[in-house]
Amino acid sequence: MKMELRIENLSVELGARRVLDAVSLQVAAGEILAVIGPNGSGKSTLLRAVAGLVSPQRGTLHFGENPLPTPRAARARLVSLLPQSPQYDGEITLEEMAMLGRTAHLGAYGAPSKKDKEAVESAISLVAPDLRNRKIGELSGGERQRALLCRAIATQAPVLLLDEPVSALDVRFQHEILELIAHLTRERQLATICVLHGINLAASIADAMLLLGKDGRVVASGAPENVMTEAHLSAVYEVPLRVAPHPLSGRPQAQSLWKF
Amino acid sequence: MISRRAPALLWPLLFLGLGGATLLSLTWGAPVSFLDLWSQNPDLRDPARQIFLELRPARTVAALLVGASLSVSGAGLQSLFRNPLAEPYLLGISAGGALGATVAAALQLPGWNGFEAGAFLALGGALVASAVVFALGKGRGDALSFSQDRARLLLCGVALSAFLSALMSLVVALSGRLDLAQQIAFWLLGGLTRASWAQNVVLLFAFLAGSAILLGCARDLNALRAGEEDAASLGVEITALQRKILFAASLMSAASVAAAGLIGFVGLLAPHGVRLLGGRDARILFPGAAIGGAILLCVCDALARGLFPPIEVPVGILTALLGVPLFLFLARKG
Repeated sequence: MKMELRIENLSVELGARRVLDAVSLQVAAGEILAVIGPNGSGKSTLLRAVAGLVSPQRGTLHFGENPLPTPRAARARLVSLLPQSPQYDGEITLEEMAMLGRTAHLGAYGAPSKKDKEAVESAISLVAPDLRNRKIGELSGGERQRALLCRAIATQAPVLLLDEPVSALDVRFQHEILELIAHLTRERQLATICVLHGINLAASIADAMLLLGKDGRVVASGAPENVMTEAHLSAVYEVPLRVAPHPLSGRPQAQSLWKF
Repeated sequence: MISRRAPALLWPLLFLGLGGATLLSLTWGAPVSFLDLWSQNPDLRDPARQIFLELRPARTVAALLVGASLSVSGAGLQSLFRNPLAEPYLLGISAGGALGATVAAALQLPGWNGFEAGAFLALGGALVASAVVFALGKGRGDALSFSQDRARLLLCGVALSAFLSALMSLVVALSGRLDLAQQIAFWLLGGLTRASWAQNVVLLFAFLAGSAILLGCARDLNALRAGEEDAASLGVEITALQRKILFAASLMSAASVAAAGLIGFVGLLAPHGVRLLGGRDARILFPGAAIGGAILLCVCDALARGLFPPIEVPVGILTALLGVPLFLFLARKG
């Protein structure tokens, strides 16, 4: 059986506000689910709930047959999160950064085993061989995302969560990073959930999409063609849109009809 | 190669420094010469024996242990708060310990001079103070995220220190004992004049226990360099970690305060020195900070005794004179 991440009926309240309302989704190993939606629709909260950083009021989270474990180390061995705006000590080198991904596998003192070193080595050679000894504080935006990706890959967790991994990057790096994510997802057979602001980018790389509305409910989910419809997008984003297939890839792409 | 090896110079420098500082502390500024130990004249030999075989070793060991404890405590707090200015004295944790020890003295609990009751109450005071400054510095908001406002934490520490000092004065005033007021005023300036082997045993225990806890958190403290939220997603139980660090830091500060009064800035100076030499990984930082702190206080104590004989300067004055410029430099660097 193919391993898959399965979320059913997930509801999260932060304070008095219901941020996610009865969200269900599945992602199979080797697939990318792109989550889109306007600001405040609970996209980041969805990832944080899967990573165990917020506890849901209702709903179940399974990977394969088993519910996702609550203890942080056990959770981290299954789920790795690439955060949206990480705070990091700029003095950390890329190697150290990648080794942080092994935290849940190390003993309390933190001495890496042969297996940990191999995991870090393979992550670095896959994602950032050119940045090996650089300090995080010296990296450009695109390089920094690769460093974080390196850490996420070094965990060897089968579920990869990415919170707007390209929102701070220019077009070229956006494509480069997303291509890398797609490659890693196939290569490592990861169940990947990627939150993206850019709906066209999302439609370009996703195997499936999930559109969240302002109230934290799922408006549409499934194949990109079924989610990226003018009716769905216009209603959620409150902007008149036209959707047409991309001339080369055939993927649905939205164009704003807003009159400036 | 994935290495977290310390830079080449770090350990040789630290161990040389440790040896030199110990030697300096054992021999410098004594009224008799070290060579008098082998003198045929008992008038020279007996005081030399008393000084070099009893008084000096106890005091040197106390300086080493207090310096190491304060420094490791500071390094732990800096990692926990991710704030380079965190330090037991500046955060009011030392003041909590001092209040506890003062209460023990005012109540004339057994062992003020042998320091056991004082040490226990100091630990209680330091624990309460660290819990308070942690809660205040954390502020409201999300359970995981921690305020990155460095000044806020320090302000809370300063306010807490002022409050605890007021309580301390109140305890002294209510005790109605003039001798206590004098004794405590001098003790608060920080000094190792009361060093004894009994005290050193307590110091050693606190240092070993605290350091063991911190080294046992090395992995998690390294992960914490990526921030609380990130560390949690990497598998760190943040709340448990915070409790362990606060306890270890309080334990080491409390034992130091009970033994040697308020000595500030050692926990700032030594860990920053070690970081400057490249020891950022917790597995290098803590042992390095222990040795660095031991060197620093040992040298400062020797200077305190030897600079203006026969007057002995309270060693807390010297560490403050060294530490405040570093503090201001770090604060400006932002």
